[in-house]
Amino acid sequence: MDHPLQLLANGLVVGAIYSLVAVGLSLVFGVMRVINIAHGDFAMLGAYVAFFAWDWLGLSPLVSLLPAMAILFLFGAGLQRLVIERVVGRPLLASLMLTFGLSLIIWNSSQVAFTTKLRGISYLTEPVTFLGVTMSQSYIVGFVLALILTGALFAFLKFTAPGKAIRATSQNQDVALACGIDVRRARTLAFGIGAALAAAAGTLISMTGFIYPYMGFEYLAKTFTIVVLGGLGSVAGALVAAFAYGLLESFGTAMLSPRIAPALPFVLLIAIMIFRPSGLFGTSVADR
Amino acid sequence: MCSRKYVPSNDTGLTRRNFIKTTGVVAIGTAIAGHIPTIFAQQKKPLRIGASISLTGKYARSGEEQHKGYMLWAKHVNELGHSYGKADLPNSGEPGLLGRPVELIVLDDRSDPTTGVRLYNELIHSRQVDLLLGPYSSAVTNAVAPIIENAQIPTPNPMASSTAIWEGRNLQWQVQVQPPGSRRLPGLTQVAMEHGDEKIAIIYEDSEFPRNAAKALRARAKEDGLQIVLDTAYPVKITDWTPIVQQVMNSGATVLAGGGYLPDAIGITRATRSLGYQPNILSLLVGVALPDYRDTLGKAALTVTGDADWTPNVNYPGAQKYVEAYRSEYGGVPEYHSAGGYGAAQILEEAVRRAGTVDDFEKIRDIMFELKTTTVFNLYEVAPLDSPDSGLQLAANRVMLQVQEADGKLENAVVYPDEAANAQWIYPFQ
Amino acid sequence: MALEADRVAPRSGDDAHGDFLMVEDIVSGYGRQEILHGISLEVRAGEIVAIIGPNGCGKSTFLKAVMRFLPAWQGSIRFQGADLTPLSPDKTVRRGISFVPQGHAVFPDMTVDEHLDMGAWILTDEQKKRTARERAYELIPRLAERKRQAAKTMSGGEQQMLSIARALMTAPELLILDEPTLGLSPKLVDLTFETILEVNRRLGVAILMVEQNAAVALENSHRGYVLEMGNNKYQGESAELLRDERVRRAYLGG
Repeated sequence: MDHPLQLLANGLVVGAIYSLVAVGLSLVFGVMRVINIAHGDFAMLGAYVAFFAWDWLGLSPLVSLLPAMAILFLFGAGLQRLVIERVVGRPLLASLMLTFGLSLIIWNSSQVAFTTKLRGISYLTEPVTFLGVTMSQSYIVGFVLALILTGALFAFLKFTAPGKAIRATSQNQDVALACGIDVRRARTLAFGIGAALAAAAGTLISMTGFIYPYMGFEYLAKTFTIVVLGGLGSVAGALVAAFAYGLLESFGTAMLSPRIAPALPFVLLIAIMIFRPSGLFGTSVADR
Repeated sequence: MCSRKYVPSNDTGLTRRNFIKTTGVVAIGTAIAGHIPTIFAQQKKPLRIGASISLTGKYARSGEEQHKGYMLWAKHVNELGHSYGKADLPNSGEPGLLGRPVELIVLDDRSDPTTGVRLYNELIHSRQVDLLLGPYSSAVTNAVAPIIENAQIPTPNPMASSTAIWEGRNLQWQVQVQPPGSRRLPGLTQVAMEHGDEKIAIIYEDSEFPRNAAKALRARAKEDGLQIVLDTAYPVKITDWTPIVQQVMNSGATVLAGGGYLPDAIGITRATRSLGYQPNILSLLVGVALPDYRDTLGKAALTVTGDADWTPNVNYPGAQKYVEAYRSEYGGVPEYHSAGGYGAAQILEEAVRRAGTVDDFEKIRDIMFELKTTTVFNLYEVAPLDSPDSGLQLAANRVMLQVQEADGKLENAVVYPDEAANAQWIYPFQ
Repeated sequence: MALEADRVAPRSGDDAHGDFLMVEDIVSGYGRQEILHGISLEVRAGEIVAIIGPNGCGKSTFLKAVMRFLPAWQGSIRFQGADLTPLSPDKTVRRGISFVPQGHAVFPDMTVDEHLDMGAWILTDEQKKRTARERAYELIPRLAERKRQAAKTMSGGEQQMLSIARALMTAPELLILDEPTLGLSPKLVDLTFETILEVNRRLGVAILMVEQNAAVALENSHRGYVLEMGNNKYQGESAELLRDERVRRAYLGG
């Protein structure tokens, strides 16, 4: 294996961006037992906010990150309050169909609004070399920002009152209700936060890759695998699994073959399903 | 042949399948119907021409352009009685095709070959269209080929460059309009040899068209004495090309060629720049020709080479008027997918006008296979019906482009072949 | 278990009717399915009331309706003179009613300390929180040894104790328990009831509980209600119900 450090770095950067999408998806599942098919579309919408802020106003994506997150927070929270809240507690299929429909609506209207043109932001593209690892500045900045944001999420969940309300609702809704927690508010908040983090990921992707109206589904497919790997509803699990996924892609491509590498996370998934059906960090849903 | 009476398909039930279709597709159908001008008296039955195109999914961007080509062609035929450059054909001048207004029935295959098969079956059997045009991409074209052969409807395919669809299969009803994949990235190996490059890496998306393009590249590289140090396919669903480009770097290749479609071109270029990889030639399929490529990458696109079936400055009959018409209808400069769509429809138009009928499919087919002509898109001549490769494109040419800077703006210069070139090939890649 | 009349302390509150918890003619259910067809029940201050009945008769559903987790389609719930019927669950808790849901009613990834913290969610006064925490650890010393242990690593009995301690953080006047001994060994069942009686005796908290073990429930309560098919069947002093031939035959196995 050549350049193991470079492979490690590549895997970590990709993993960090996946983690931003995955922790939100897991958070939302934990709090309301809804698998949000439209979650990847939030990343897409965030990416377009950043893109147009760059294209029209000349704003750096590092600046537009915050408005993109704010806008998607409001969008996500509003969507949850108006639509998703209605399927909470209903069979999983109801929420799957609903969010699948929402995804199609968002996706199709984005295609009309933004056209199918592929876009991206050319910002901080110069590569830098450190310890034999070469990487463009945008990747490094993306990695650091992703770490800061997931760190902020963990601190929020651990130390603040609304964060504790979200964790409590996720771990046992009946007990949360019995504590006097407004679980509806916790759900709306969690959904908004998930959307905002996805928007952050989208912003970073607009810098490191390219964006298009249906990109959400491709990221959803990956992050869904990640969330199941980490244990549905476990935010810490999603984080660890996202990095595992990124590293498997990176090392798998180099050591085995690009054709086999995408299958590796699924091999890991099957192994985990056999030996630890609730995922890396999951508490079995049946226990709850 | 069964009756061609229109049987409305039952789209009212909200099954999952219909849900997908109604959100995306029905809206498109109605939009096109609106294009039929009022010149047509009520008694003329519309000529319904069906196609499925990738309007969503991975190929959406290119599919949409091809769709625009179809729509513009239908508009010109309906309004002028001919498309650009085809004014002098027999039976032209009267609005429509043989007096009947053209109505396009375009469905969305979501870039999925299986869906394409289902939709062509639907077009032929339940919607009972009068004529067909091909889908977007080699993958979908290849998948629907048996359906069209079975239905025996003459069909020109605008955007299928894979030769494997035709080679040795003796197809009787379908012709290739696009220059075949074996002539992809012209000049690449020659220029590399001239400059003393020895090692080439070929990476490509694992689907029909890139596989075939890679196969042809491989043969040419061997022929010209280049050593292939890496030759690897990667799966369709990838979003990060860094690990693969990393492998190319490690292989010591000084020429990197391949890719797949536009996302691949952008992704590979981004990864190359990010890793600081400096090959002498970076040459990528499809994407480089598109304006989106330069818009997305900015200066990171400089000196990347790629080929095109067509550029807006070509001089085929009607081509410049077509560029103008595209600009006023959709804004911007058209690229080859839309010109290809227009051109393929022109082949169908010419065959029908020369046949003087829309019902005698064999007659239309025979003319389509014998025709030697030009469209706004390219030259046209296919292998004859009785040959093993029948329908394979023989005449169409391709040019090599390079992203260069002129007056502070990025543009695609034609750098190969010499007869067509308007600029020098900048070597090495910077 | 033999009848031990002295286990249950005499009622501490006054015997006045209708001014503590008064549930009248409640109709409720899940979705469109009606489960409770009009149940009435009263708890007086300082009293222990047990609800018994066969599985699926709506005992747990009834508690959820009282806690306002489920909407009341008809009827009313009044507590200390105030109408709870239009309130949301979090507001109900603020009126002085605490609830221990059925089975593993804990936050699996939170520590004992964090549970008590969550139990005090509606309190704003830090001093009150501290006092409540000390009182909880004093009442159930076993928890004090495991302050930093995550709930999921604890035994079923410990989790049940933790859940009760969590519910007591707000110093409620009424504690509602849904099947507090479900899945516990006989030894732990005893321990749990001792704790419940202790809470009632020392803190003067009224208790309303649903129990599948009818005999134990009636032995450890002042009054009892028997539900069947979402309706009231029998009610009365627990000691009398224990002697009642019909109740014995149907619910006490002889």
